Amino acid sequence: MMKLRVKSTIENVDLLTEFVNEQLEGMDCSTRAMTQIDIALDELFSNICNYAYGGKIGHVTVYVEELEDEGAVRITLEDEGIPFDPLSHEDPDISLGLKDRTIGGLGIFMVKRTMDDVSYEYKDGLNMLTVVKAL
Amino acid sequence: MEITKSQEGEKLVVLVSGRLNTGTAPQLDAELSTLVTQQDALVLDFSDLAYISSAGLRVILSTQKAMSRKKGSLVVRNCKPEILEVFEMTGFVDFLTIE
Amino acid sequence: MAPETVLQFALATMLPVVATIAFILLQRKTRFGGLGFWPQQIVIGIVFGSIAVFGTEFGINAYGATMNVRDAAPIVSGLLFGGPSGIIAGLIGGIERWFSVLWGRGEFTQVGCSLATVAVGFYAAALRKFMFDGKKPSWVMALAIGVVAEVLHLTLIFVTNMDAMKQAIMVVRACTMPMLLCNGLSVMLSVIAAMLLSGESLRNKVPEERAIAQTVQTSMFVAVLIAFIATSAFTFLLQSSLSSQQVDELLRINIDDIRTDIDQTADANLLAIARKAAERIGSVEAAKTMSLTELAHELGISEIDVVDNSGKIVVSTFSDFVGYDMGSGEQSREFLPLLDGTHTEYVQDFQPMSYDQSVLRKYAGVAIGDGFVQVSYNEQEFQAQIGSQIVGITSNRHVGESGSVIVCNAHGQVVSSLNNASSESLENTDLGAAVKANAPNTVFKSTYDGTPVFAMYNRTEAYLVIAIIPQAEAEFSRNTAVLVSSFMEILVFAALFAVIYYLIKRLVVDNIRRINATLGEITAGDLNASVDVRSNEEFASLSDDINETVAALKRAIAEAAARIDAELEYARTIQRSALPMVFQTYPPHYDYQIYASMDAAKEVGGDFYDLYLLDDDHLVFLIADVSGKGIPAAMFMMQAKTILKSLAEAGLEPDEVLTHANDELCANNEAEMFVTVWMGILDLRTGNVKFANAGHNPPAIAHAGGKFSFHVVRPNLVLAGMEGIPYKLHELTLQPGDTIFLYTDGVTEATDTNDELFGEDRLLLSLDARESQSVESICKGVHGDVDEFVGDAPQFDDITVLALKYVGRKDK
Repeated sequence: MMKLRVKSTIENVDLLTEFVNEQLEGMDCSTRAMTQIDIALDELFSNICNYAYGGKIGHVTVYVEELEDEGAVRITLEDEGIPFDPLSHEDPDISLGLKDRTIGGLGIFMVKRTMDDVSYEYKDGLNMLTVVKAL
Repeated sequence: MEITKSQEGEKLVVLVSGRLNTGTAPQLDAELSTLVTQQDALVLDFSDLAYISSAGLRVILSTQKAMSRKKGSLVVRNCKPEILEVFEMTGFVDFLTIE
Repeated sequence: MAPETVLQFALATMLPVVATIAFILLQRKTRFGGLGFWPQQIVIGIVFGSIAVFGTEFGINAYGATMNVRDAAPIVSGLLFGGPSGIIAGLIGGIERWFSVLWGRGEFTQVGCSLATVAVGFYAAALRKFMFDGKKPSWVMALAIGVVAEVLHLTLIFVTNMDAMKQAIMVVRACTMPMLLCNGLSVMLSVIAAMLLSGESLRNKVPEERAIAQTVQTSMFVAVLIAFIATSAFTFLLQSSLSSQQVDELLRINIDDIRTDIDQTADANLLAIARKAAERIGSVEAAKTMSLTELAHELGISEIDVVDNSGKIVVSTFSDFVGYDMGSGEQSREFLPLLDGTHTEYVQDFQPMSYDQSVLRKYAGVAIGDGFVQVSYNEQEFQAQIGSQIVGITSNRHVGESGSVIVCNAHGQVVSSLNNASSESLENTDLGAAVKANAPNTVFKSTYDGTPVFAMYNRTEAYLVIAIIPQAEAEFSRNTAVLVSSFMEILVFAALFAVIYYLIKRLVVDNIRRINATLGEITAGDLNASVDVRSNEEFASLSDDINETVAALKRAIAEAAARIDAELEYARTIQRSALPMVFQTYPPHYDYQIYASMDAAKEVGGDFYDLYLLDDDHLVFLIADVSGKGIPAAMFMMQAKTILKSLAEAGLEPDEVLTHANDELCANNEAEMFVTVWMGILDLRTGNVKFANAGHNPPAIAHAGGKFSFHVVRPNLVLAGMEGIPYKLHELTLQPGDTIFLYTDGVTEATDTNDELFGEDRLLLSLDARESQSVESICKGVHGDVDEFVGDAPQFDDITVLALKYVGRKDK
């Protein structure tokens, strides 16, 4: 499993994309899947940059793991920001308002549409958003 | 992302290459919002565009609307299949002129 | 030690280290690590056992014992790779050592060495299990472990050779340093190698990363080390002082013995001469007429003096002395008691005479009727008379075991010694110089015949008596005592250390771990976990406190949950009440039948449906799915439903409804959710359906008596995705008897326990089976099929269905 940790600023989306693409190329990923993964990463990463740290800059860690048995890749974005589940728009920490953390309706629509599995977990102070995509 | 402009008769062709994502969309937005006020016919050439995210789609939609208001024309051309797929998935094919 | 011996030892020391590295790499890089515990233990045990055997066979012989690093192999194996391997290695090394006497290995230490090697295998296994919890010890600890093992080994050699203590001590003294050093180093280097291979730092960890057990280990180690050094130093000092007292006493007694011998011999000789002289002279008066010179010659001396009652010399072989008053000198005054009858005989030591202090004489006097006779030896006479008796006086005298007494004459010539090497001179020897430099009757160090000795001297009658004892002999008992007591202390302290450490671990550390484990379960969400550590009062009370806290937390959570449940129940009721539950109008419409249901995965869902008549001829029916679930989704759903209805009732076509609803939802979409909608308006007169689709699943349609199929148009973007998107109007026509079925993806994406989707094919089959039935039966039937398919798998998504049958109008 490979990982990359970057600051949560929009400019780093290229760094992140290149890192992930590099891993994907090693996995014989189709161009189509790679494009879709890139889009999904953009949506999810920008969401974290805009909302996870309440206007401040924190860190985002991305994990890329090939699921060889399933011929798929699992990518997890992890941040230490405000607990928030962009999939259900439910806030695990009830004290925070909805508008503090959201993802664009279109963005999450595209992620949900293109990825094979999208799941969210809040654990040990970490927001973990995981997508699985067939290569 | 890189933006290259060239005149093709009446039309201004904007060649967008690289990635049109959250990071680069504001740059294209700034460029296009100026161009819509000056041009009546815009062509977005996506032959070298790797992908487009929702932030990019918003830019295209707002450009489309601005052009429609002034009765100008916006054409998107040379889309790769992956880009086309995004347009289809989001219903953009219904109102965009795609060549 | 000779260089090749050092090399041999260094090689042996490195063997366990090399084996350690080899096995760690084997475990990591090859399939050896996957062999399973016991096969691995046996292989490792055999290899380390072989190293122990190698140690025995290539060790170095000393005093009938074999010095080697046999013990390090079982210890390294047991400490680093697991108890069983250590025990196996120890047994192999120990048994081989037992039989190795058959081909010439030291027989003397056979029992001790064999036992020790077996014992250290168990020792390492026990340490790993009870002290280190199967982890590596630190390298300092490893060194200590190796050293303690060797001490145990050497102590066993003592214990098994009680009847030959002297040889045992020789063996142990010779072996102690090399064996402690090599085995200790070997174990330490192996542990360091293992640490480096696993990327651990050799430096001490910062305190916060150090476990209690480690801190206790380190502090206790330091304390025990200090205690050991202090008691060893005390024993050493005590034994040193005892042994120097013993040396002092021993030397003094011997000197006194010899001095007494010499004194008595000299006194007896001179007195005998004095008696003879007195007998021959008879009286003072008679003396005046005798030739004393002749008499003196006859008696072999040169001086005879006769003293009268007044204490004056009246006759003498030396005319100068005549008239000398014996009371005028200290030396001569001592003879006056012979005149008053209190003594009849008196002998003096050889000393300067009062008459002339530069001359040394030994005098003896015997009383005669009216005075006394005194005779003297001068130096030559003294030596001629008693010298022969002094020579050899000490030739059989042993001081301790190998010490001796040396007697020298006034010229420093040795006249008697243990080996009777007479006539040698002490001048220009260490001993001679030391005698000059030290006071009599004190112990001093010197060398004699090249051996370091303790010596003491005294003089008597012009003779010098020196007693010596080799330092080695004098210190032997002290060194033995210190060695044995140090060994015992090391063993006792090591045992004490182990016991205290084990107790602390068991009473504190293990309990803390147990509590932490339970706390971990609790923080992971298992509030039913309880802490139950009752081995001592402190932990029992801590356990109770934690349990009470968790119980209180549980109550608070239950209360909060109950409150949230109640709120969710309100929300659910509100949402339910927003969905139409009455499917027939009044007055009833016979030209269509409709039924719908929504089953939320959570208490409140994001799906909804709606149906209402715009007028007598137009029926609006729609189904929608909000992204997300729970209260936010339900709120969004209420908003969407209201907007859609108000726009539809304003007379807009479905595409216009969706276009405007989209803009409106985008404008107020702070949550930026989205919703898929399929919305149709059925003209009850013609069966014509105008519809628009915002990203929703296609409906399934069946003609009367026919099969269902999906009616697919390319959907537009979901509502609330992006402002300003236009939606497209589509049309389809229903024949009387046709059924249209709408559903959300909760139906097609319902999953069973095998993660298989219900899917569109199953949906069509389920629908086809009920085509002829009522819309209510169709809805309930499909729902039932989905439920059956899902089985025990949890329901993730809302399941919403809507069926509409167009009956048509008879008057048409």
